[in-house]
Amino acid sequence: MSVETAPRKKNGTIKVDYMARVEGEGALFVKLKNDQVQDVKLKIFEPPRLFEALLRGRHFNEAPDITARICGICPVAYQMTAVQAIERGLGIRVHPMVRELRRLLYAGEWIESHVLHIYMLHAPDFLGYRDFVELAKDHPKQATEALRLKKLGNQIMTLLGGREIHPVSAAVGGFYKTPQRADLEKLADELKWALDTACSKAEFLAGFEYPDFEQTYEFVALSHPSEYPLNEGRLVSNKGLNLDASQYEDYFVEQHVKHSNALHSVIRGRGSYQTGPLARFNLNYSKLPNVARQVTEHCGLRVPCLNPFKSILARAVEVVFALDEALRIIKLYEPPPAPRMPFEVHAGTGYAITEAPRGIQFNKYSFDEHGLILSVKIVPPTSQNQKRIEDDLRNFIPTIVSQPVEEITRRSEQAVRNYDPCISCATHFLKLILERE
Amino acid sequence: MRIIGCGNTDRGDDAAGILVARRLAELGLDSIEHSGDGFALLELWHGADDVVLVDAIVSGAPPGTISPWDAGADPIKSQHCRCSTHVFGPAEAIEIARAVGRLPERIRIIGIEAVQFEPGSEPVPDVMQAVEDVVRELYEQSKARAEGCCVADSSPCN
Repeated sequence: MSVETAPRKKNGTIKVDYMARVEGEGALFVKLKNDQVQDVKLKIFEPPRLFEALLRGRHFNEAPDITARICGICPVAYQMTAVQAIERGLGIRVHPMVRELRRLLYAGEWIESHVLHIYMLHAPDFLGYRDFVELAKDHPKQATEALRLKKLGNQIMTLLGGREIHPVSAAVGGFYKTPQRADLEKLADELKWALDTACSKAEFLAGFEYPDFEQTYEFVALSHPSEYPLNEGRLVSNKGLNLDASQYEDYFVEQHVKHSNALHSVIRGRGSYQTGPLARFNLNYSKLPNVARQVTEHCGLRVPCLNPFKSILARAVEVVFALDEALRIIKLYEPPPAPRMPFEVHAGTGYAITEAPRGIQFNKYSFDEHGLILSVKIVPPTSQNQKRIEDDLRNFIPTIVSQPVEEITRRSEQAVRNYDPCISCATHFLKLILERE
Repeated sequence: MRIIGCGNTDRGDDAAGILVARRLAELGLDSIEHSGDGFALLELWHGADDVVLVDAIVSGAPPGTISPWDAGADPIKSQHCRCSTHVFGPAEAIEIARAVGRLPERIRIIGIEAVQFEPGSEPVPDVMQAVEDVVRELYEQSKARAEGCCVADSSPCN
């Protein structure tokens, strides 16, 4: 990070060359004139990843392993959305226990990704530390527990996915291999410890000082009649959206902007929207298990919560949910008759939306009669939140504009981290440039 | 002695740590090849009392320069080991372990100065030479330690 304009002036430029504690490489440019924000650009300069083109001409059976390589933090989101889109294109419905195992795998990813973001990336902002190492020196118990929680998420992914990063077990029609009941039961004691610990740690987070900042958002998340959303549901919003994944492109459009290698997603005719933990929490609070709702109450988190900085609390509530969900699945699990459903290959087009830790991910796959992929569209959560991050900053910076440049910069970075942006996924490190004219 | 070689064999000089671990394994020593993810490292060295971490570093020294650190005694400069923003690397892992009291009794880092990280490229000759030098040094240390143990506890050598 470099701050170019040290003295306080009404006009000028703050430049954060590489913003730390985000996934990937990017920059933020903010232009001020007479303390008014003239322009905000989230500049994502990490090169395009070209995964959609890489998949064309490959057999759809290769898609789960290729797409798992898009991200080291949320590979399951890519795998799961890919297999579910392809399965819809083939008309496959997987065995109920396979569906539960997929939810368990996804819960493992939510635990490791959320715990990483809450404690290692975002909590240092609230406590005034440079990084997690500094936080760990003053709060060794919190840090040790966070490391153990994250490890548990990774253990779930290793057990079901074959390895903790870029798992290899997911397949169209199910899994290549499914665990025995005893394999899952080995996780139960650690999950019980984790659930108790995650509840008490949420109260530690609730004690942070939160900026007094609320926005009017269009929250977008999956909604399922009886489940807190992970891998299935209709796409809904607090402003009336209610649609199937196949209708996604009728309502959402990706726009190319000159300053970013990631496309900006907007709702047609409406603009930016928010997806991720706060959207899921606000739209699906009633589907949370009792233990997660109790934690919500203890944290003083209200529904709807319109303060994006409190997304860290929504994440903490979701960690509790994911741990409880994992315990539920382990309790009921019986191995399916076969790991993978047999199916006939035929031409088709399929759509799916699942909830990655950072928000919704949309996939569309078309393939020919041999199963060779003709076209793919992958819309990751960060490109969906990107414009909303810019809008938040446009409104948040005026509330802190009288503060020293260093503080404006620090708070702006904190505001970006509210969305846990995974820039690598969206192209897809971050620098902040604040220019005063 | 637990030897962990970190890096990426598809990114030029970043292969240095992995190549050291691989070569030591060929010579019959236990060694671990690892990507360098800090969280996983915390687990890898858990329970070990003497850890050696070999990794490519960028400090501005000439390519192939070998820089040993006693990480147990001196905090490591994180920028020297940081190739990725995505995860915590070895430097962060060591400092987190120090903060929470999980640092092995003895932990050394052997840094090999790297100069290029092009995808798919081979390490430059100076780095390859440094790999051989580090392998020779660690092999001799390990051998001397094993012989020392045998003398100390009077057990037969295998």
